[in-house]
Amino acid sequence: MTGGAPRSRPAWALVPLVAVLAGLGAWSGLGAKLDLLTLDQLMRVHRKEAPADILLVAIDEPSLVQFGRWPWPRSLHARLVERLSAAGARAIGLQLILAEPDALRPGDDARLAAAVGAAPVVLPIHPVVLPSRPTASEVLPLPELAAGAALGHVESPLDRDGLLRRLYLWAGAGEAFWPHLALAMLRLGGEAHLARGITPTGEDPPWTAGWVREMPQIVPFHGPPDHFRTLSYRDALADDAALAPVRGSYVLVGMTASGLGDSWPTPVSAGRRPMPGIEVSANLLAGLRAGTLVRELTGPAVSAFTTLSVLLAALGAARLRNLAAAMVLMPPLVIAASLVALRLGIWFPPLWAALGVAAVLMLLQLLRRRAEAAAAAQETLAREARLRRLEAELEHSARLGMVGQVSAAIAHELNQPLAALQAYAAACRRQLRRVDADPALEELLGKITGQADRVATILQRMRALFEQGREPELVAQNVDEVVAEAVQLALLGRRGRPLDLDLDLSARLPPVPMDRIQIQQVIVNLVRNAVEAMRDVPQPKLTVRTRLESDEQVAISVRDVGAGIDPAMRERLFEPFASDKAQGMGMGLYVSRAIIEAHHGHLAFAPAEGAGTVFHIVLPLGGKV
Amino acid sequence: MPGVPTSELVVIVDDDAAIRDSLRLLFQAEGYATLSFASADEILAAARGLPPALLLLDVRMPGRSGMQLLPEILATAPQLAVAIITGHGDVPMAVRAIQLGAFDLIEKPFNEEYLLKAVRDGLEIARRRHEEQQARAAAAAAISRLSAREREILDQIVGGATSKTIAYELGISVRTVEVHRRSILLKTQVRSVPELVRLALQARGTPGAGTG
Repeated sequence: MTGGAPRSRPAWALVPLVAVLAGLGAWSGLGAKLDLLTLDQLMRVHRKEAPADILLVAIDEPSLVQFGRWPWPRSLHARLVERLSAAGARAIGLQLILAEPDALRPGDDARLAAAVGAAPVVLPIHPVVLPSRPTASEVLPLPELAAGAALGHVESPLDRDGLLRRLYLWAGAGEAFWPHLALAMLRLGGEAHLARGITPTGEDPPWTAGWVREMPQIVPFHGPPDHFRTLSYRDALADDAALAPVRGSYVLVGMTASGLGDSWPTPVSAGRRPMPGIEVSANLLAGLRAGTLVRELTGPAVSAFTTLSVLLAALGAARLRNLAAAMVLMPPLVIAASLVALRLGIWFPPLWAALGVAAVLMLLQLLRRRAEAAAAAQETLAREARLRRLEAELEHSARLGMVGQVSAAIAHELNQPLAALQAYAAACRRQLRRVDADPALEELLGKITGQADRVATILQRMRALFEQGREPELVAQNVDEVVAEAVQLALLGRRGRPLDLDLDLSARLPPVPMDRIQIQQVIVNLVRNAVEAMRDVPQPKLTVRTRLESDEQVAISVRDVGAGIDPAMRERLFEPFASDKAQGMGMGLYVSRAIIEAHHGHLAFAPAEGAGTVFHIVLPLGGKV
Repeated sequence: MPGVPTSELVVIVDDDAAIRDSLRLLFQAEGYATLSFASADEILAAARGLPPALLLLDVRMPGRSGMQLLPEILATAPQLAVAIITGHGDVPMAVRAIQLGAFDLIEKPFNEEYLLKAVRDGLEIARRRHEEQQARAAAAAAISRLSAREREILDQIVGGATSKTIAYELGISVRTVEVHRRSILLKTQVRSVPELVRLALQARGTPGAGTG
């Protein structure tokens, strides 16, 4: 992966987890309603022209007016079948319940059976699923009718939201034995080859107690109700001219009048009346013939598909810089992809995939943010660690330098009286010789000088011990950087009144040869002294400035607004052990001056304008060292 | 001619009173005359009027350091021989001191023998410098007594010319040159030509007397 490379592997394992969860969500059916809403919307938008060779013969209101109350005598149906057959119908689907014999007009049943037997008719089988019984049964047409006809089931299962969206190409009680009426008509019409691939495999599934369905099919609605060409039953019986379109057509006969049942709410009937059963069958038939049936992915297939699309989106997004934009764009893209799939004949419920993609992108965003935050935190830590290390280094070297400087100072201070002592002793010896004194006195004097020499030797050794490495190691340095760092170090961990720090750096200084640590030791010392001097000042202000003093020198000044230096102290300020602080040895300035002088520079102080004191460090730019 | 100093003088410059006092006692016991100063600036003010002497100069003093003032002191009072006193002598410091004109570097605390030897050496150097200075002054005085013609001929002699060449150059007879030569030797009180050349060169080295 590019960009914010993943640091924590366990967190990245969350990506497949999200994908799998989305897959499981798709399988669970939770939120299926939303998926269906999407599907409905797509269906509504996706209108097709109804084929001209599918004709509906409607038992509508005008027909009821003409022929009276339902049920009609079956001789009427027989006449219709005969007329349709004579007009050249390819197949006739008589989608009426013809289960009970006509007790009043037994002759009519025989007449209809004759008509059906002579024509390509498909009769319906209705499922009877009673809530009180575990088993289901089928309502078949009268045996004499069924004998001469093809049979097809007309189960119209409703989704949980009460809409008809799916039909099953095969269904039956205990076994999916019956084709759908539309499929049966197709076979009867000699176009079974168009339905290839959708017949059952021929394997015998075990018989089960309930109503068994196979091969669910989303009804390929071509449009809202009344979209197909319709002929009134009345006209079909009376008007020969009206029968002209019947030739070569599939004809579906059934109820359309309201109040007669067999009408179904569908996604495309929004705001309109429900769709008559025959039109539902007509839609399926048209889809079957056109080969535009939509395969619906279900269960594991949807799961797998959802998981896969989430993973793909995660892979793709991991390379993207702008995850926020991806979060806005990718979920609609998933839905758009599902629309394209629908056009190609596959319905893939996009909800969980879209949700999963959104979730996984959020996760990626979160991980990336966390990685960035971790990187930033690490950087901060590293910087702090570096500062702390520098401080420790400085502290250590300062302490070491201090010991050396202190011992040098002690040695120098002791040297003076020692030298005097030796000179006095030497003078004394000469006086003794001149007055011709007791030789024992001279011997004693010799012992005194011997001990003085011993002290001198000790001092010399002490000095030699610390003299190594006291010479500054001069390396060209950026003065501003050295100063800024030293000030930062000096103020590290400072508590108390907020300090107004004015770091006035020149930014145009040439590099200056110096021992970085030693010079920083001096600056830290001066800054800490300045802060200390301002302990009782209500508004402490520290000004540290770097300037090019001349062609040969740079100046660093540290200025405080404290009470200033006691006139009595001024004379002795740079002497060793001169301190007016309760704590401290009074070696700081002494050592600082020694360091600056070892750099061939000057360290001096003056009262600052207004209040306080300003210390100046002047360092040579180099050339003569 | 100024008289040779009756007693040899040691000048002590140190800010530490005990050092000044103890050294004074030691040197007086050795028979030297002593003078003490507490700072480099004080000695600088007094240096010009001092007789030839050894100057012991402490490096580390408040105000301007001994090392800083060393060149100025020597320029003002060439009759002084200067030894630097230091609490910690290292090689770079010794080199710098010698470069600036000190003849020695003495470490504190003192090694008695080394100190006294250094004093003797320094006084010897001071004496020699004084003598040279005096000889130079005498030579300059001698040459100042010559006539213009004699000085002309002296220049030729110093330039390595023979009497014949000089006569030719100046358009006079060899005999006349010989007369002048004798007169020059007489006036400058030297006995030979090489001595005369040395005298002339010495006189030139005297400030204000020669071309440099």
